[in-house]
Amino acid sequence: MISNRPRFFNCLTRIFLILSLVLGGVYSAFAADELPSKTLAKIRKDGVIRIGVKTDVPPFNSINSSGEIVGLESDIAQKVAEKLDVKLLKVGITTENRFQKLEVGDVDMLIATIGDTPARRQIATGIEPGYSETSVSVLFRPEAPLLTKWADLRGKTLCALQGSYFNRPISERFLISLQTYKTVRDAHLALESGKCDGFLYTTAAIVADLKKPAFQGFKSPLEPALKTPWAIFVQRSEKNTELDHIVGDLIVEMHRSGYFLELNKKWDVDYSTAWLEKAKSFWAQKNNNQYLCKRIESGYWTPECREAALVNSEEVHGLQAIGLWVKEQTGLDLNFIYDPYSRGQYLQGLGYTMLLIFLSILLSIGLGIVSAIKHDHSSEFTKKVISFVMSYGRLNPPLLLMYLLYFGVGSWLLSSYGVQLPALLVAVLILGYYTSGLVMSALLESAELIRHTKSEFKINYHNILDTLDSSSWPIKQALINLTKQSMIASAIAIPELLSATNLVMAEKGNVFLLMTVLLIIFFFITGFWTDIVTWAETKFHNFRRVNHG
Amino acid sequence: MDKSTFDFILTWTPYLLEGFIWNLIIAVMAVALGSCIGFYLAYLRITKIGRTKRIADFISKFFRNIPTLAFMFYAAFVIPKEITLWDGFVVQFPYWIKASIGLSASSIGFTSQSMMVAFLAWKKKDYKSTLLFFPTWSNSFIITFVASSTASLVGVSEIVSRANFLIAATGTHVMIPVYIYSGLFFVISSLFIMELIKRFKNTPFIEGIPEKLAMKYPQFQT
Repeated sequence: MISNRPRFFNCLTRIFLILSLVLGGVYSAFAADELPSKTLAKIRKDGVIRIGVKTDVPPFNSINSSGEIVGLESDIAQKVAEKLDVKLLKVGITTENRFQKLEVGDVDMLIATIGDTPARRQIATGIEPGYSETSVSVLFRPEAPLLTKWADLRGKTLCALQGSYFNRPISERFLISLQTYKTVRDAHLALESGKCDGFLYTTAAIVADLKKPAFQGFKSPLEPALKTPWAIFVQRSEKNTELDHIVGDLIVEMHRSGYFLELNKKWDVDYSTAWLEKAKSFWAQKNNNQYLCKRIESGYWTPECREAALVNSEEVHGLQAIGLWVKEQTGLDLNFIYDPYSRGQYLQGLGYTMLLIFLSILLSIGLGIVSAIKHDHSSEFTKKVISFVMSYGRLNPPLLLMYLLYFGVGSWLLSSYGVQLPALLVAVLILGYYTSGLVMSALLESAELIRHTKSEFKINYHNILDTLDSSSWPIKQALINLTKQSMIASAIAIPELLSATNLVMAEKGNVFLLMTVLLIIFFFITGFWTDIVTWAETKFHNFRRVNHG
Repeated sequence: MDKSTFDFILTWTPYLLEGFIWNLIIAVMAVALGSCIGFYLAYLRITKIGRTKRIADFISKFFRNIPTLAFMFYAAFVIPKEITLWDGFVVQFPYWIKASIGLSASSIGFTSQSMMVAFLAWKKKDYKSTLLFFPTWSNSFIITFVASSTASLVGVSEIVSRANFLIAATGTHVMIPVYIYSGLFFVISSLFIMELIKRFKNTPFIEGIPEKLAMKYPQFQT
């Protein structure tokens, strides 16, 4: 009857093949010497650097009562001029014209609240690393329910500004509908009159709003999303030149010395302080008295020290180069393979999924066997009770039971006894409970069949394998179903594969590809566990044959 | 349960019930869609040979192996909100349709597989095993029905998402009763559906199906 030979080695081979295709292969190195800088030559000749700055964004830069441009970014501009040993000339620019002014040479450099995104890298060079951070947040009315995750916004409507670069990624990644208004004032009014659930805008502006009396009681509890560094920009042709290096080195020095943190204090900016503190300790990491983040022969910073989104394939080696090359050629962003951070999250997700499935399978079989034996040796009344308890678990949505145990019982345990209920335990208990009902009824039905010939038969720990003939098929189906159900655990924030996919997707926006990869990976995961179960089934059958003749 | 909790639950029962009707609609849609496709796949696997059969085999396995929740997310993220077929004719894909499409996946795999098993038994004139198709299929209906609760994760306003909404709006003290109460909707209606299927299954009409098929299509049984 068991002709199905175990195929999980086959399955492993398949996985190995795919991995080796991705991991192995080309190792490409592109070295570049430091290039001379035309802009720097001009700056030195003139003895002056012209830096484009904003004039209407306090506290980053605005005009004071004596007509001078002052602000956090002016201080940075001053430092750059000092470093180059030239005079500083600040030139007022606007959001619309800043890159044109840079391109035609009206200004040598931009320090003007510019987020460093791959799209902007197409038209100019952002000097790495960034000196501050920008991100997107949501402003809520005082009476709005407290949401803590972006995912909670799914299906909701947010007010936004027309033309903001983050509208599309945010609405696509979190399935939010947007009402886009022309001005900030309109969006604020719409928010106040309840036309939308919240206002989607840059964190810097929302933090500034919250400090105003008109927004008393308003809140912005979500972790800011789409984090992007603010960078100094120079002309596109200045990439990897001496100017790029001098200014980049200066910024790193200022991170290491804590200068940017001082600036934040001076100008009363607090939303980016955490990012700056992290940047400070990150750039200051040392190994054997050498900084971990340093320039490599190509002139760029060590790839691990750079924003993954801004790196391209010519600037790195190995796996990252292959991943980025694929992205540049085909548009398929396999960041969960080449970007170390996303890859870590993805592998962790895979590990959690496997662990969750393994533990749940053990629990379902164990609990199923125990309850079947108990059921077979009980009075009519106890039988009814056991059947009811088990079918309750089978007919109640596991998602509801997980919420009930994790949030309901979990918060009660925490407040009454100070006990924290681990999410993994909850998921294993619920999935095990859900499936053990199916295992139990398979065993009982099988015992019923055996009783047609052996009327005295009752299941116990010694004869349990005798039921295998007719129970193995439904048990196998139940366990396959369990493998698939494990994904529900993402609802209680277990970092399994679906959660990891959602996370990586939210960062990079490669929705279609990641969802497709998720389907394919799960196809193999289920196949893997099916093979494992089939293998175990064969072992048990052989064991029985040997022991019972 | 004290009186105020009881009153609270009574007040909100119509609201929850309305959500539960969405669960039923989604489950029925999913099983109808999934059974039709699954049936067709089984038909191809039985009547065709060569490449068509291999493709049908693979599609069945594909749908059997992948979690419905993954399909549901896939449908939610990848199917656009609306498709314009030609001028002025727009097909809308609200979330409940996307959820039904996603949920139908397991039904496809299940139906295709149990049809195959039933067919092989029928071919050997083992009519008792052939009739096992009905409990297996109704089992898959119950699984799909219970799984319709995950539609809340892709934004359908069904009972679980309404329960969450109630709890978020009124505070955590009602959490445990509301979750238990919402679960009871599933447990009780599943028991009811199972009882119905059990009665239907044992009617002479159903039990006579294999013989009728054997008279109509004797060529398959040789």
